[in-house]
Amino acid sequence: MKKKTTLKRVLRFWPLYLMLIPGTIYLIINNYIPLFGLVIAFKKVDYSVGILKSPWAGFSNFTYLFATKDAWIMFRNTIGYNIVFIILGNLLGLVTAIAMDTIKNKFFKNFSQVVILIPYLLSIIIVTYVVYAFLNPSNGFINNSILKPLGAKGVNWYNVPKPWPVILTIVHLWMSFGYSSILYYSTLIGIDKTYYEAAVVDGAGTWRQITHVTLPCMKGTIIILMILAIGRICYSDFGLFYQIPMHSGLLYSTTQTIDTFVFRALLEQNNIGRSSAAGLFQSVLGFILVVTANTVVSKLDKESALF
Amino acid sequence: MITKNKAFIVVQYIFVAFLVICCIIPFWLLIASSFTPESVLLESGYSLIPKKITFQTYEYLWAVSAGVGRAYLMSIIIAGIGVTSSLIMTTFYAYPLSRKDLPGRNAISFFLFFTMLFNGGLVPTYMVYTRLLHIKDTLWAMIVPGMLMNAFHVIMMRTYITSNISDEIIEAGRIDGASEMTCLLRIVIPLCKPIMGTLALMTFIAYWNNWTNGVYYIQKRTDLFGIQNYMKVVLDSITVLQQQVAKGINVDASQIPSVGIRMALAVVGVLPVLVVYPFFQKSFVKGVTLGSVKG
Amino acid sequence: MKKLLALVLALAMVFALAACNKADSGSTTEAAATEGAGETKADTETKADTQAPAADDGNYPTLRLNMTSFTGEPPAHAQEVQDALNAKLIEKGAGAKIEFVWVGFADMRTQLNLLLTGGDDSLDILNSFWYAPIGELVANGQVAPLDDLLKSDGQDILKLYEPYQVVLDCGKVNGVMYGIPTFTAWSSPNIFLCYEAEAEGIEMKNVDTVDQMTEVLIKLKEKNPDKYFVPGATEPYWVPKGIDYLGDTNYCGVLMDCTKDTTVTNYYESEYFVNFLDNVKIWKEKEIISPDSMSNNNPTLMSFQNKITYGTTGYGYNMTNTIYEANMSQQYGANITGFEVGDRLLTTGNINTYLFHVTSFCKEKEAAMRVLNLLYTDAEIATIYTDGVLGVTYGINDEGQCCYVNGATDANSAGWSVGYAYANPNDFLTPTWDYQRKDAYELMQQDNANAIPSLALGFTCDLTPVADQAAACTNVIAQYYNPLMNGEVDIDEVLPQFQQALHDAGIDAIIAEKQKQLDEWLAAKK
Repeated sequence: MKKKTTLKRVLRFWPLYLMLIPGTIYLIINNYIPLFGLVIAFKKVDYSVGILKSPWAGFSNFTYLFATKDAWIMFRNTIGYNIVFIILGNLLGLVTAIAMDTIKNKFFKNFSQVVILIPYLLSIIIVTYVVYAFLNPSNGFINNSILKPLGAKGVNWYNVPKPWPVILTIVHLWMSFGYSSILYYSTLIGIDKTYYEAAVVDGAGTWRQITHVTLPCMKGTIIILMILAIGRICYSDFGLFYQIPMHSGLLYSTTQTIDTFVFRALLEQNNIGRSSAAGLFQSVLGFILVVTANTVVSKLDKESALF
Repeated sequence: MITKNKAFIVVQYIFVAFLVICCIIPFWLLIASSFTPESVLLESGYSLIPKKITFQTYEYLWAVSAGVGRAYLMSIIIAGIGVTSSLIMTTFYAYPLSRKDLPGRNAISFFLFFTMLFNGGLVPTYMVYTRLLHIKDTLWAMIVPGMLMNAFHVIMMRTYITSNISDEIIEAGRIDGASEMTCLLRIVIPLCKPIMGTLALMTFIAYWNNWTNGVYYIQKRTDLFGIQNYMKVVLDSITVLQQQVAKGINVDASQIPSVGIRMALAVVGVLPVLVVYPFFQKSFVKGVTLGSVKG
Repeated sequence: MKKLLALVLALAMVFALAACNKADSGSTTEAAATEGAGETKADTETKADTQAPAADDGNYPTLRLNMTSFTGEPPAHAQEVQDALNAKLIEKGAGAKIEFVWVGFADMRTQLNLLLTGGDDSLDILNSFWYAPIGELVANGQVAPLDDLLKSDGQDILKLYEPYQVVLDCGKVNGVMYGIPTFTAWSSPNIFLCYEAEAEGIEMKNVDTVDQMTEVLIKLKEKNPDKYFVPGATEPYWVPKGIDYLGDTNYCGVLMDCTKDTTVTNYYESEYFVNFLDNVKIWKEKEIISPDSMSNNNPTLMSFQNKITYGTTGYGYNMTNTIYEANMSQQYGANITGFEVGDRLLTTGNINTYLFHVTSFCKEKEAAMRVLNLLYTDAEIATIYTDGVLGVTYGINDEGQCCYVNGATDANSAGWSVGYAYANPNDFLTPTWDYQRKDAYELMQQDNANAIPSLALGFTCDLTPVADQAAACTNVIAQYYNPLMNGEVDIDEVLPQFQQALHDAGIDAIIAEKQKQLDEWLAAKK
């Protein structure tokens, strides 16, 4: 009899399933059919016979990723930067969203919301120019207008790897905090005002309102954003790590990531098998981490889990 | 939040003002350098107040502006269709997923999430769109591939619904005899305005800034190019232009803007988004007022 | 305000739907969709439509051929040139027509990667310049073998190359012909260019080595203390044309003395390279090379043109003609002068940069070869391909040279990429331009005859067996090479690190593999 009740339950929800149809069709066309391309990572592609009929290559397309002694540097950089970006990025987004919510002056509120989105809108090429305007060794803003008046010697920024973790983190946060804060802000203003009123009645101050009302209400969004970010922990923003340091070779120890390595390694080799292999490797690692994270989350708090 | 803590409020104002300055200075730098002659940029670099002002870049942009208007219009068409269809599909996908009692909810979530991690890559996607769907050189090429429904947006919306709209409200609606569709339209969507405004804005930006679809899927119909592809063409031809002007009016090649043009084009590309932003923002506020009435 | 937005969106929808319908229902209405700003474009499109059926009588196959567009859009007269070329091709019995597929320079690699996956929209004839080396094209199965096709439908090309069989062989991979080199200037020694005014009174003759070039540079610097003469940049300013680097721009394993010795050696440990860096030290110390190189990403000639530097190194085909042309067209805004450095070599790498192929997706391979045959050997067809339509894109002056017409001042305003280009099949068949020396092509052909062939001329190596090491070395080189060449690091300290890193990355395996293949090739040649 159990079967019948399941069927009944499913039937009861038919309008909901109907709603899922357009999106499902799109996902199948846009994402699932092209997945046949994953085999490219294991093929020696010969277009004259087509991808599926090309000869198999085993794991030989993957080996180049680990062929250098310095391979660990790019893994360290990719994952290290991502961890810093996830933590600081979300923190800054949240803090900004709360600050936006506190501000009551309507003009300033609207104005600042528009303005903080500007960096997110600029293309990476333009951001490269802007960063260069600050770091240009001979007439950049920092060397010329900050270090020189202080009597300090100018720094040849594009030759010294040490400051780049800080520079790249600042640039990344600058480019992305507008986006994340607006995302958090839209969840924040959706919080029912009565919760705050109740908290005030209970004698809660500003800080207690944040910890007891705001954060619990935002928990779902925060956790989901974290899980999604973990899924991309092996990927890096190519433009950020390649363009912003002006692909300066001297900075590799702190700017080389998996994506820039793959780009440089394959520049001379027009090899789709190898580039797909790198992508698949990054995805599989991300997948394992996400499933782990999701399992942990659903053990602690089933409601917040992704699936 | 309800706070009377003066110090806290002042700190928040200062904090936001600091962020605003951080965002405005580089943007100002951009605008300033679009008015700076190329030779000055090369010699003394970028500065907030140009040592010399030129309108050369904008004069040049004006000269080729016949196409700019057209490209803007195409971008508006593309983004208009894209944002509308994307919002509909996202909502239709997110709402069922937010229903905890929906059988197969986890499997469907996973089906959706999986697409965020794995993708077949550019070449297979291109093959599907050109050989199966014959989308090349049509308007759909600018709208559909990769952009119509974003799994991330669906998940954000689902999370919003589950954490901000209590089951009781929807249940109450169901008991009153409302169909699922009515529930969605009358109860859920009005309460979702803040997130829908945000997602609409993000989708709009994504469409507005997209140029890859134009590169991959448009071969002959360059009349379908939106503003980003158009600006790309302008930039690509600058090197050609440099030689041209150098010969034509006998000036130094360094007199012709190339960095300046980039900056000016960046301004041209960003401004419209800043102009439409308040429209989307209104919907946040509306959502909030509606929400508080219902709540 | 909200109503306004709604109105705009609604209008946008209406426009878009109209545009889609029209796109679907064929090209006559397509023109209507472009009304407004695209008025002139619509005109040419309809014109093209009405003309097309008239020429369509013979039911000839249409072959798609890629053309590079620097501006991202086809040149203004692209359609007229295509029509003229097709009329001539039919007249001369090619039995096929061609269709130009315009690929923007900036996205060339991406677009060709997509086009060359074998769909309906694929290419039939490929000009691989700027795209990918021939070895990769063969490995990916994108180009077809040409030996039989050349014998059946490309006899004129074979005849053209009869005196230069070894040059034609540069299109071979593992003994099979996959590409036809363009018939052009095949050698390009290193050169140095600088502005005439800055070089006044400085002796610039008989410079054979980098050391001697440095002597000239020092004199230039002494005369112009505040100017730079070598463009330090992230773009390479020096390609060692005096050695045979076997077509590998990473120089992993090269022939240092390719006219005498076929031992593949490590370039980065060679006397030549170490000595070059010694010169860089001098340039750096005397401030001959421009500073801030890690943030100058201008190509060398742009640094020169923009007067970031007043001189530049490089490589060129014929010094006499290069300088004549540059001064004639005032390309650099002032007269320039310069000299060649080192020997004029004939190497595979120089030649197989410019190749034409028939793709493996082409369904009418014989027809494609007939078209190529005419492009390489028929003066009229070569001229249309290079200069376009007489009276429209170019004219002929009293001297018998080409000149701009209709108020055009350069290739861009002429509406066709007119003029000599190394990547064109055979420009020696076309008239020279008024900014060129009349004997420009004779000079180039003399150079071809005088160039010293490398012992490995015609040899192309296949790095697939050592692809992992090649990838690793590419990264090491990307890391160390530019900073060393620009003198941004302490050369004495970093050079040994670089050399060690290359050993760790497996450069020795690459050298051994190249040596093995070269030895096999040499043995087979005998």
